[in-house]
Amino acid sequence: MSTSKLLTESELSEIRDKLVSYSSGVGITRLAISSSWSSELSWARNSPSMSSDRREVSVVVFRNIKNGLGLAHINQIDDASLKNVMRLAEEVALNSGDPKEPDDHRFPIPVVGWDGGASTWDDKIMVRSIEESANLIHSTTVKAWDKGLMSSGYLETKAHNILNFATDEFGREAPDGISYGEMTQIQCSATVRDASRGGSGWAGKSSYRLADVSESAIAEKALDRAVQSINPVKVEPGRYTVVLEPQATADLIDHLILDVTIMGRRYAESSAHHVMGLAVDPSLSRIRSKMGSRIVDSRVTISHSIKDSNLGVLPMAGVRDITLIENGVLKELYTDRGLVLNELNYNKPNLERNSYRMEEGSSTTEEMILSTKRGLFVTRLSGMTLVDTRSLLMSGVTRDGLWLIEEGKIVKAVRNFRFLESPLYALSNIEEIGQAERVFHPRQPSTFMGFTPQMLLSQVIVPSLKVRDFSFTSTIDAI
Amino acid sequence: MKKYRKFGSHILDYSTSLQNRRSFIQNCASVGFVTTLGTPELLTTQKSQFEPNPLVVNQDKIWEICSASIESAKAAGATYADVRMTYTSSRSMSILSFGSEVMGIGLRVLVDGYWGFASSPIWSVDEAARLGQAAVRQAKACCISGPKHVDIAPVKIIESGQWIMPVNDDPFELNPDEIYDYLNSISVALKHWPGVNTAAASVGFRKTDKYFVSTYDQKVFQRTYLSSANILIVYLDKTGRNGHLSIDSFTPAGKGFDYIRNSGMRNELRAGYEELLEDLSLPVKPLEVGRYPILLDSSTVANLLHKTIGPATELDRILGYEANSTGTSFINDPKQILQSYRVASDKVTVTSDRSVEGSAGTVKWDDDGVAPKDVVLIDRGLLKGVQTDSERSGWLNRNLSGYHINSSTGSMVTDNAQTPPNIFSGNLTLSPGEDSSSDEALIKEMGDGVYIKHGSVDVDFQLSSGVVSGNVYEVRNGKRIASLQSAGILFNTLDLWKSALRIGGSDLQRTFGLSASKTNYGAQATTSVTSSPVIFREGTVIDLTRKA
Repeated sequence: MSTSKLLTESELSEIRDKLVSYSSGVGITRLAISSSWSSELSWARNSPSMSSDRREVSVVVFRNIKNGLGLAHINQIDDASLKNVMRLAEEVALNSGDPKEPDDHRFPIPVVGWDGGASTWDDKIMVRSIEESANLIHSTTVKAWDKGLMSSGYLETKAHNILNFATDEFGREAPDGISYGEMTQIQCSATVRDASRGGSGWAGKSSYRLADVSESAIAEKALDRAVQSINPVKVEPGRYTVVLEPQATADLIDHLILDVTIMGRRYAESSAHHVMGLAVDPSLSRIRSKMGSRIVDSRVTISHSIKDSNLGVLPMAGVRDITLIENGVLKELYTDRGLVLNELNYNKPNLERNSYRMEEGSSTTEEMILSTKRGLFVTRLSGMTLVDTRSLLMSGVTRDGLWLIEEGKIVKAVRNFRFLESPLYALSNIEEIGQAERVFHPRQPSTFMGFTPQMLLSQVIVPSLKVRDFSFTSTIDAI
Repeated sequence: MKKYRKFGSHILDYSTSLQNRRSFIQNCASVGFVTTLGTPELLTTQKSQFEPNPLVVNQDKIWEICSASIESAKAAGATYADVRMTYTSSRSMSILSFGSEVMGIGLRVLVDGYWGFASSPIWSVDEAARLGQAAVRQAKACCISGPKHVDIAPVKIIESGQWIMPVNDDPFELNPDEIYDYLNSISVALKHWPGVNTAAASVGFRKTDKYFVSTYDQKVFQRTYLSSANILIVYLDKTGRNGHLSIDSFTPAGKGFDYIRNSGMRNELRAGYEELLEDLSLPVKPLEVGRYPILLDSSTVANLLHKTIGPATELDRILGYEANSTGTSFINDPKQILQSYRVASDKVTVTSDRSVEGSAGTVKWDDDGVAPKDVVLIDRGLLKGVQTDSERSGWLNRNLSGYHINSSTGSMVTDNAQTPPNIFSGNLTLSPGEDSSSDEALIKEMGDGVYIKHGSVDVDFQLSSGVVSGNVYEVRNGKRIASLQSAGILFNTLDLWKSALRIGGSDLQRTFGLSASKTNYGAQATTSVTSSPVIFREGTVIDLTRKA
């Protein structure tokens, strides 16, 4: 650790072997052993404000003893600490849980069926030096400085590797119970402001591949947008046709994809209040999901293919190709092992993840603007809050660049709006679909998600959209 | 229908609620579980079996590691350096219990005016020395256009010492059985109340030991605690009336288990239950959108303070350090401090402190090693102060002559050594007005209008506008007469605070522990916010679900 940025796979395995030997044996054990490294550069007021190199190790032990559930986490890997973390997990397992009601979906152990997917590792991220990053940022802040603007931003390169391990209830290694995955991520975002004239521009991108993220292009775009957005005027709230940049598309549909489909079929089929749930089906005496129903415009297809090298996946059994929405129809939802075994009676789960792609259309952004009589061009959406779970109605604000389109031309910058809209409604009101591109969609590592490593990845590729009748409820002063 | 449960979910059925540990052990014994497990001593433990890493109690070794990293940073060229070593224990107890033990070391250096930071989980002299070099390299990499002047405000008093947050019952010293049994007793009590269908209870505790050493020869040890409980009651009676209540009396506080096991717990639950019944007895009315006098209860006002005046007075936000992340402030020029800038009506006085005993944000020294001071942020409606660290108070000194606070307010915070420190609001307090016996008395004072309870607040990225949602009631002739469906308040921050007419009395003051997050790398902090209910002259009541 002292010389390398991450623990090696064999070091992680060694930790696993020790932990297994320290377990009291009975019941299910799940382990998530990971290490991470990140190099971060924040800048503000046209100058670097913090530059950091951070390393971390995480050992998460889950024990299930006779329906008692215990979870323990530690970041030390010496023998005494590993013994202790196992003991802690067993201690809390014995103190909690429910002895009456077996509930096997609590331990969705992996299943057989991993046949390989695209990597999410890029060596170039590991060798990118802080000096190189700082130089790239310096050349962009100088430009902002020259124009009398204030630039701030964040550039981060990081890597993460994780070993997952699971046993069955007799303490034996489960079939395909071991998986090892590694990922890299680069994220860069910049905000350039002209506070006195009310201009603010933003741009950002994230990927597992270094080459996908160009710091200078991001800085350039943020700067251009800041200049173009000065002296915004107020226009009346109401319904507008909008041209959403890919980032705004992702901001809008993220909740639909991540919070709804990721919670998966189990949620959809357990509550009639769920956006993807229908009424109780009397013949099955249970709630049916909307699977098979058309939920949005027939041009919408959203999927994740594990062989897609632009998205990538961490090796783990139970992670398969998934088409969430195909031609507007809700095709499939993520399913966990407990659900497939107990209720669907087949052992083919499709585990949740955080990356997706929405199919592009044939229009370009310029064409979309050209065909718009009166509308708004939206850079990004911020502060999304769910207002109604049944319809997925969400409130939020536009941020860092909003322009009025009249007679096929961008005519002026306008003041930000608060909006109230549902992604389902917007995706049903599509007029045109543009070119898809990678957006800014980084994820912070979370120790406690160690058992669902796919949640650490978040490669999102979506198109720009032209949508009619987007609801803007009030103007806001924020710039 | 089988109820869904997921990791981390705190909702559980009665039939499965926090069960008595003893009965569980009996259960296990009856099926021969104890013998299978082969570790009977685990089941009869009187105290947690967990043995902390010996390093965390070896203070001499810890100071040695701290010094090694400081020396290494100085040798590599740092003009200033500070190092934190933290050991954080967390426990959460509910249907899925959780324990966490995290050790970390993080070193911050200043080289030619640029900050570098390096952190690691390894506590050793060698690793500390590596961090010194790594942090300096990070800082040096940024020095492309030559050295930068950083105005670090002079630290007037550099004191070393130790401080342990005073708590009565250290949750980490208690037998876990005591805590489980107490939770169980709550669920037993709730079970007997008519109509209570589901209840959930969970508790969380955190203890942080933090060692801080800087190149000013400052050596500080602090131990802080954070305790909280979540209790949710779901009500469903025979007539089909239903509702739920989340008890907000046990949000995070700088206290021990005594905070949760206090004599008032039953009364709080009872009051909450009766309030729920009273709410359910009110008719539900559709909303008439318009402008009305507004009364916000103390929890809604606390949220409002925490989302508006608190972050808006953080100097890094004002200066644009957060522009690319959580955003900026409606205070866009620090000079406004000296210009009688009005942000609220003259009834409103807001202070920030990190000294009140039992508060979540209380410490003796901040993460610059500065002893925090109490600051008046808003004095009778006028902006009087901002929350700063050493670096940015230096900026104030140079650029804002005449400002009376010429050193850091001690607002630098990081809750773990692995994250660089940032400015976070201290404990916020809205000064109370004249006494007022109850929320009902204030409703009477208001006469006609709208009353909001348990409100949450969403603001824009400049904190200049937002929406309040929660339980909303129509008030007519001094009485709550109906519950308003999907109603909320759309506000402009300054307009709303300027229309504050009447602040409730100290008898209605309550304190809530609230968390905030900032920066692109997700730094977090928890502080306490104390407020009483407030009547606002006028607010815009909207239908939250009605589109344009």
